[in-house]
Amino acid sequence: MSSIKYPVGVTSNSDRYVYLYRLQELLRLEHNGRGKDFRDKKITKSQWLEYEDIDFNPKSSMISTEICKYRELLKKDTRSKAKLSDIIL
Amino acid sequence: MAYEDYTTYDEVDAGGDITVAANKLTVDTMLITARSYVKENHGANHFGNFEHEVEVKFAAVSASGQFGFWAMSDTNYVSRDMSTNSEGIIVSILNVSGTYRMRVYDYSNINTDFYSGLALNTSYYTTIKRSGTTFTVKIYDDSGRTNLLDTLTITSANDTYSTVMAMSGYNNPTNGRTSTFTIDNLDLQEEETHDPTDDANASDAVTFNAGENLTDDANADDTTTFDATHLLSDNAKASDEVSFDGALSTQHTAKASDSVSYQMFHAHNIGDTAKASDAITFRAEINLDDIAKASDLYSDDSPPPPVVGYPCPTFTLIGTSTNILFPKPEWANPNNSISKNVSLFNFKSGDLDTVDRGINAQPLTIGGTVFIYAGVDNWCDNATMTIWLDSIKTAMNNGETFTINELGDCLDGVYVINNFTFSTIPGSPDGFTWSLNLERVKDI
Repeated sequence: MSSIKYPVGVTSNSDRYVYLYRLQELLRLEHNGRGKDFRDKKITKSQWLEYEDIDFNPKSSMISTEICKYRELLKKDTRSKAKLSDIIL
Repeated sequence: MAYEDYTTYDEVDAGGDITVAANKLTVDTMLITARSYVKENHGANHFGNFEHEVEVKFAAVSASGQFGFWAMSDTNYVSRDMSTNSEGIIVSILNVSGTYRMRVYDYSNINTDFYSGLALNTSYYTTIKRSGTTFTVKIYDDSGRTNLLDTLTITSANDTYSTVMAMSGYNNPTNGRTSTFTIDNLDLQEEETHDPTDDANASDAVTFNAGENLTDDANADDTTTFDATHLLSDNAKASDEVSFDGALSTQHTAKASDSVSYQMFHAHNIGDTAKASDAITFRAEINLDDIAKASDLYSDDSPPPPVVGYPCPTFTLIGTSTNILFPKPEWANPNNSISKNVSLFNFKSGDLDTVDRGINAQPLTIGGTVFIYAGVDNWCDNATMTIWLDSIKTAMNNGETFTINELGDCLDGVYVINNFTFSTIPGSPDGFTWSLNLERVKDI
């Protein structure tokens, strides 16, 4: 079953949230590298589409789902003692 | 997939700012106060999971101005209504302190995400996707969507929608802010569906029109496989028509249990590479007059296979003597009177003891007994006999051929010697027995 394997030590919600955004950025960079290869005709259209369908899109969806999950968990995390009065207008 | 035709959408243009073309919306200095939108209602709960694509390009957005270039709702078509009623989701362009942002905002749960760094007069290509409650907006700066700028991600409300907005104004009460932009090529990526206009009947005809164009030259080793199985679900009628490169009408009423036998004869040119223009011929024979049986129809026009084996299992000695002709014994020389095709064995009646061993199948074995009468026969002395035997062995070793005739028509032929043996018989006169194991080369 597909899943994200978090490194040992990346266990807190905030760490995983940070980790997921880094994964998303790495995936974006990889995507754009492949996209450039396609524009430069180093890979064929079918190879590009196969990459999008089989590799990029599933990974992107998985990351987005995890980001949503940990964002919701962080919203409910009360340990930070945050106060609205901390916002200075 | 096809782009949405905006001309079929419902348009509300409060300020007269919107120009609608088939796949393009052009909006000129629309005030943020305008209650303007372009929408299409697809029916209740139509939009659950989806993936839409749309392009946006803005020439001007005033400070704190914004406009929506894609939105979804049931009844709220501008941002102010969505906010008031906490329903709807929108993707907008905003000017926040001089920075142009693309933002996704779910008014049901107030989840939002945005990307900063947009530029004026630049086309942005977005893919807006919802899967469950995961809502993403992928932002690209090329039409091929090969260069991803960012992925906006939010948790959307667990809701379905009926209406998509191709453009959605804000209807903000604070005036003075305008936006000028274009929106192109909204693609909902939905399959067109067709409802049947009536119920299908078992008697309905189904027509197969298959045309295959060869895109390259076929090769001699290409294979073509036909796997056709048709089950008759009802009884065919005499009026039914079956066409095989022509039209054949059945002359009786066939039954579901009727068998149809296809015999296909393929003409393949396999000696060279076939071309697209090569012909393939199919000949179909169909018995429709009765119920086919397993024993029906097998015809083979090919000639019977040859009978394998020697054609003459027995033979009879013809006459009182016979000859075995050697073409050129090794011991022949200019001083010798022996010439080509001499009679090495001249069997007299009574001297011949031909043994039928192996005549039913090659090789053939014949043999006999020769008695030596010194001075009577030029060949029949011990010295000459030695030369005979050596010459026979040499002929055998060299694979030389020789001819047998007069032993019987069936044995007349050209042979090589597989083996030769003999043994002397001391006495007066001396004699010897011999045996030749022969392999037939050809007929004479």
